[in-house]
Amino acid sequence: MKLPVHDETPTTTPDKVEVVLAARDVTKSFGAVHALKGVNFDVHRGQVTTLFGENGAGKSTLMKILSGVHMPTTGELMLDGAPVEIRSTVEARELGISIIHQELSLAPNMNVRDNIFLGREIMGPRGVNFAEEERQCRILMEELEEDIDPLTPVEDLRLGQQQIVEIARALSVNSRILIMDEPTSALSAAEVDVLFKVIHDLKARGVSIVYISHHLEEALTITDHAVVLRDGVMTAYAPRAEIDLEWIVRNMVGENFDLGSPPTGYDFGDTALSIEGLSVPAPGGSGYSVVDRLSLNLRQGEIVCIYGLMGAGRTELMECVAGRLPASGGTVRLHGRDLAGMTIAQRIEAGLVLTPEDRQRDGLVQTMTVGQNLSLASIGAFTRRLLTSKADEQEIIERSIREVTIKTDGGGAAIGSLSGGNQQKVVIGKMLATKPSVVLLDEPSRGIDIGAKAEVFRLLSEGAKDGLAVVYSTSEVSECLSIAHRIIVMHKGKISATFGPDATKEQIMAASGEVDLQQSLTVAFGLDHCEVVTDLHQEDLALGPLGAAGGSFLASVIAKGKVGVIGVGHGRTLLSCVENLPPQSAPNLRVVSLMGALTTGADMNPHAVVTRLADKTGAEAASMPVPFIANSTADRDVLLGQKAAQRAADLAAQADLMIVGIGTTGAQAELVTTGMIEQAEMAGIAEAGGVGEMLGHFFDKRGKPVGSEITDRILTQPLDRLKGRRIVAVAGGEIKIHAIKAVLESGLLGGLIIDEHTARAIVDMDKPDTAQH
Amino acid sequence: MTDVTTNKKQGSGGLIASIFGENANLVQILLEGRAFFALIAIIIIFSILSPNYATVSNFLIMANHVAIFGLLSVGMMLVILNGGIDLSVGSVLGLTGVFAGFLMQGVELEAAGVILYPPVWAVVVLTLGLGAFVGAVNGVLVAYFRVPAFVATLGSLYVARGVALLMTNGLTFNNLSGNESLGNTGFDWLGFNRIGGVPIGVIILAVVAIAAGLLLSRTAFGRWLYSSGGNERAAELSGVPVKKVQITVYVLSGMCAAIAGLVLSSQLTSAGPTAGTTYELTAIAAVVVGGASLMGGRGTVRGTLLGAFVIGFLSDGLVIIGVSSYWQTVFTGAVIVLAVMLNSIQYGGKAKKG
Repeated sequence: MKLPVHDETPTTTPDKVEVVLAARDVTKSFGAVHALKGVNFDVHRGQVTTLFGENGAGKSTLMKILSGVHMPTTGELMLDGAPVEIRSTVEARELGISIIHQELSLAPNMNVRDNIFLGREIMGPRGVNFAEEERQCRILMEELEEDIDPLTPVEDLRLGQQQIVEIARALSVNSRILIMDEPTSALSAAEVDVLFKVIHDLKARGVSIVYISHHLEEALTITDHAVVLRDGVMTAYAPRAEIDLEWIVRNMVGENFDLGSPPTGYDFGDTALSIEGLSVPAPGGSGYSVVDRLSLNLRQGEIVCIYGLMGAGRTELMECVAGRLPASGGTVRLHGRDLAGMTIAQRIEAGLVLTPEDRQRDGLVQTMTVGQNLSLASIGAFTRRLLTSKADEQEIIERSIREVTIKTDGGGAAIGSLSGGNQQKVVIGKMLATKPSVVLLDEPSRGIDIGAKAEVFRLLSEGAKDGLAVVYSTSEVSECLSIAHRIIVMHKGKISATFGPDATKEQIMAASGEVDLQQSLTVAFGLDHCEVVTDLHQEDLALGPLGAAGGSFLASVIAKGKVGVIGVGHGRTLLSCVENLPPQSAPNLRVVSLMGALTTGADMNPHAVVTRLADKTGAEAASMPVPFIANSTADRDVLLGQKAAQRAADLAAQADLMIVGIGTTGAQAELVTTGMIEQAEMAGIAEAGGVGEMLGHFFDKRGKPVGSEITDRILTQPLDRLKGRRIVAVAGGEIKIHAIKAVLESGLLGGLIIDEHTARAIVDMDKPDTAQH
Repeated sequence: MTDVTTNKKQGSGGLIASIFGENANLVQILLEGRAFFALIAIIIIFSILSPNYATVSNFLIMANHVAIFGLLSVGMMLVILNGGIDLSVGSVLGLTGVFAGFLMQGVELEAAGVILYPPVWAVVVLTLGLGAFVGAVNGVLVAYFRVPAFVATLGSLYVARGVALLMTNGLTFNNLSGNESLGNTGFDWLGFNRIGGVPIGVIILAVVAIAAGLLLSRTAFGRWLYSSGGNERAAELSGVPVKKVQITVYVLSGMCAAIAGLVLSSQLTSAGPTAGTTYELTAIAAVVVGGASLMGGRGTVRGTLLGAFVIGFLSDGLVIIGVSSYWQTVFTGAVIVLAVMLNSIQYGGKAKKG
């Protein structure tokens, strides 16, 4: 197994590297809540320190202290070894500390130049000196090796580029310490690469970086030090060389307060909620689905936990089922009744309720009392004819307060006087007061202390015993393994895995996509180029996106001008790549077909890849004008000896890059459908163990070449000439999963461009016993 | 992570504590009952400055003036509770008055060659309907087309005023007393009569205020209104039909403006198209002085009425002691600013919690 791609093992031992900013015994309390307890944190000059921790662990609070938003309750900050007080963000900036938040703070309606100099405009004799600002902007962009025109409106930039603008802004105020909060959450893989390159450059310039991320594997590739926070306490600190994924998870999640276990001793009832093929469109009409054809069944008395990262679609799923968001496909049935077209009020009436994620924004009416909040969803229950009954309402309120154990100064207390945990209980109590049969809870334990969490889970557990069907979502792994009978992991709108209560935390986190697909494939198969293309939810063959990705890869290779000869295979996928190639002029390029390509089928022209590529680039084309398979081994040798074939073979031997497709060994394989090989012959190869094909060579599932009488007759580059060459395959699609894996196992591939769906299937194939939904 | 504080201060002890509760203190009491205390202060001050002020007949006359603004304010309060605003009520008052006048003059149907003289009860019903209609248009614009309330009702303000001017050609309908033979007398009953010495207008205000109070405190709708004004998203997720509530409050505001239009034009027995110009601002002032929050979710009928009386008694008081009407405008403005500042002190502290 080769080393991972971004290998940045520090060359100096961390202890010797200077500490530029340190937090010493920092404590931060907000009233009765202790967000940070005696934390020690070092930022080393010119290095990346990553801060790991679950939600609520205190990461943001610590960052806010470092960047001047808060002041520590006790403890001190040391800058360059001397104690310092940072009383505001302005002071922090002046000291050289900048923070780039997860939600970027750029003004979208203004251009890049104005954003970078926002608040610090360079004044000239006649007002703002735009020319000077522009000049400085260009210098910054050059330093960051980014090609962004200062006059571009920020809203026209991709998210990754916007982030670069924020970094440029931080640099323009001479920041020495850059804090980046979840910078990669919303970036594409390519943008992440750019960001990491920029971080690398920043380090070289002596900028120190504090990095916060939930994407553990990704963070591991960039970090020099790791610090783990849990419940406001620093549980571990170590340099990169001493840590791995398991270390991080162990320290993040640790031994926990017992949040209970799945309630037992009763049978589940009938199916309460049935979701089939539900899709929810993303806001803004981008056409993309934030919940993608998801199906789920829930029975009375059952507790299901949904785990997933931000953007996985958990909240949208719940809000759609509750009636807040419209669906673009699929059905939701409550006790067999289709909920389509029902308003939120009607669904509550029917017994389906939702407690939202953000209790301040969506859960509580701050102007009303505790009692009024509790009774808000049950108004019908205490209204007789036209008038409400105070007595009835009071009964409902008191019962709620008792059952949900809310600590309050009576029902008449202002809602703001309650602690976070009790406020959450009010939101839950409000919904439970409607006597529902299905309860959806979006992150019910968010922002509440451990004691209140345990009480909430106890409440849900008791409810389930009484027949309540419960679905709760969480972004903390330990909460999955408490009262849930079933754990569902969502990733990009789909269910990526289902587990029982005996799952491990690593399994759950892996299924959520916290593990990078590209990373996994690269590491597992020793690739030096891997690109996983979002398949845009096309299930059989993501031809469009694959073709686009392949085309741009080819284009970038050709543009660099370092290749003289490119060898190509054939097939639909490669043809699509070439069709997607933006027109380029490369007259010195030579392209050659790597295998015999004469065929009986007149309509499909396997030469097409070579000739199209030559047309588009003005390159010189050479094909191998011999059949794919000969009648006998002797015939093969003769045919390969022909001048034209020899020339092609010699040219292929000089190829700097070979770009190929991967085929299956079934009757639907392109080789068969285009008439290059007969079905019977293909069947023979399959019988001999052949699972995947590349450039006319067949491999079994363990990656070993399959040799048979049939394969000996194939006219193509010999295997020994392929070893050690730069071969990049473009392939995807559900039917090719095994074929691609087989070729990957052979070790011949240096690069792979594949679609997400197939990539995931291949990665999952290696995992032991993952119950697929 | 909220600061768990409660507004517990040491009670001033004794009498105040026993009336206002254990933890009251003077500042708190003054703040919460400020409209009431302001009214008392105004009455006392003007009674001292003019012997004519503190007489029953004067109070009733002043109350009659207040009735118009009070009616507008009650409707405005409902809209403000929802977090919106209705700038069109002054124009609707004028429009509905003109419409009533138009009906009373006799509707000429050329095609059939007759002139319809609807009886007074029909005029009232139709006029209320017009007020409701304008309110409905406002409501739909705000609720479904997401037009900001300020803009939607500003538009209605102009349109309604324009229609009123078109209907009268800028003139005034004068003949509103009706004719025995036509069966449409009684219009002036609203304006001139008294029951038990109390002007009808004041009684109507009382009835509308009591109805509104009941609506807010004892019906589901009232709960819906307070919750959607306090936090629309939370209310919606709790099953409150927020859009219906939004449209309804504008309809009710329009109807209150129509009632006010009827009362005013019957008081004057004439309906002019410019009636009610700038009245909406006074209505908003009354609501604000009464302690409602412009963000929505907070306010009571009692407070709004007190606010209307404060402004009305203040203005009339200034007239009685002979202060120029220009000073009235300054005073009214100062009172409003003071009221809003006090509102933000009262609610600003609470808003930071939670």
